[in-house]
Amino acid sequence: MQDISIYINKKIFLNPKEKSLSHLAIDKFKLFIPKGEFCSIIGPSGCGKTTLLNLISGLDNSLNGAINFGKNKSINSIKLAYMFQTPRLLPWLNVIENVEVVLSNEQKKMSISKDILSMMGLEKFFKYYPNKLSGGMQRRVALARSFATEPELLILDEPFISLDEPIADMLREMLIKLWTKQPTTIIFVTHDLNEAIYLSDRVVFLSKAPAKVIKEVNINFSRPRGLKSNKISIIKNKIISESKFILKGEL
Amino acid sequence: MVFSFLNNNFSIKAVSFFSLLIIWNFSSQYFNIETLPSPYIVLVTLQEELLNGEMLYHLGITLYRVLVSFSVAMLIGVFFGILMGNNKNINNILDAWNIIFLNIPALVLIILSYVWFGLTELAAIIAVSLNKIPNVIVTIREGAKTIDKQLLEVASIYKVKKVKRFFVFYLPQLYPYLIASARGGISLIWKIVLVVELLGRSNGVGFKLHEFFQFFDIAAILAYTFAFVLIMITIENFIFLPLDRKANKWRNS
Repeated sequence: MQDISIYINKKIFLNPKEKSLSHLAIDKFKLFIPKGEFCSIIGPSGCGKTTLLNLISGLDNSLNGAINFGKNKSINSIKLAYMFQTPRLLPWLNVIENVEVVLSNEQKKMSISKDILSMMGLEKFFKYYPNKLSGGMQRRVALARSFATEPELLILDEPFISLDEPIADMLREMLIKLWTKQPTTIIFVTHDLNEAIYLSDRVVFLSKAPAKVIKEVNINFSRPRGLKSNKISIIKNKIISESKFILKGEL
Repeated sequence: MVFSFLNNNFSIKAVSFFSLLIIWNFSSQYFNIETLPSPYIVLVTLQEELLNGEMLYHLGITLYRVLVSFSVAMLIGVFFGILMGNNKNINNILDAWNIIFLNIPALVLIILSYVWFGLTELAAIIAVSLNKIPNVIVTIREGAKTIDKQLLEVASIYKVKKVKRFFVFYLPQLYPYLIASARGGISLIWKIVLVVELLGRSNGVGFKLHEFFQFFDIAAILAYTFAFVLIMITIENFIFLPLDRKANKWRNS
């Protein structure tokens, strides 16, 4: 695990026919994440959060800037995991296969995937195919897959979106449980401030497009935290009272 | 209910099959027995042909040609289908060729192949494969266009090796298209193989049918036909059906 420093000079979506319709998604974006930190990123919808994650993860390889892990390691040389907005499981593989499919042969030999799945209450469903699982269970499998590779950096892009609140809460608790057991650096994108405060060490607020960091808040709240703790709303109210429109991307 | 046994799939098929035999038998009695021999006579001929040894040899030769041309056509067709489905430029270049080949009559390709490559085994295989490849390309290309890129992104995030990425993340998405083109392919191919054999080979079912036609031996023609149809049904039931079930296990488990 290593510190991550991110600098993105520019990300433009060019419109080849009409230059004036080209969209500047990111402009001079800078962020430093110390190793082992749980860092949440909040921004209004359409501000370029997913674009940012695609650049960090290397899915989009048109990076104009520099992303370094430790001194000068690139994304290709670290163990990375990414949990998407949808579970993205392979329909033709069962639960255990879906988790182990991302492991290398050496990793498979001492695989912890069964332990992780059992920890998440899925021990009876190892042989089930994804189309027989509920939406919440599919997310659990996707979460298990993210931790199975023992990543140095875990990126989560609104992973609990469009779930019932109780199920989302359960998954949030599981995420913290897994992260406590298996520490890693986390970048967590959300638009839910309560969620961000409950989960993270630090919350980073983004502006409207082009995205840049407009505010950073360290969450001084000792763990274990209660999901329904008063402290969450106290911190939330303090942030909102300092800058009313922060969730809309304005100071 | 009197007809409750009809609920059973197998009973329906059996009844349907025996009705066909009865109609056939009745027709051959009623019309001229020379041009439409009864099922019994065909069965006897089949037995004779099998026992004197020649039939198995010719069936084997034809089956061999079917399997070789099938494999060649599938390999080449899948390769170009994936290539054309994924890359617009390649598709633009090759699409016109494919449409031309799709519309050249099978007979023309067979004749040209024999003229250019001689009356050889290779020419026969080339002729049959060329007839099938464009169909495979069209089906696989449609499949390649529907590939879910989001699943491939998962593979790329976790740095899954290329070979595994192709066989575990990519190819299973094409299975329905592969099975559809394989099933349609093998029945088309065996029909073309017979024409190829009739025109330029000195063995195989097509060659024998030609010979029986000269002698006006309808019973033998039917016997050979049924023997080969039986082989093709066996292939469908013991190779394609289990493969299909395996590939679709996750859909209905």
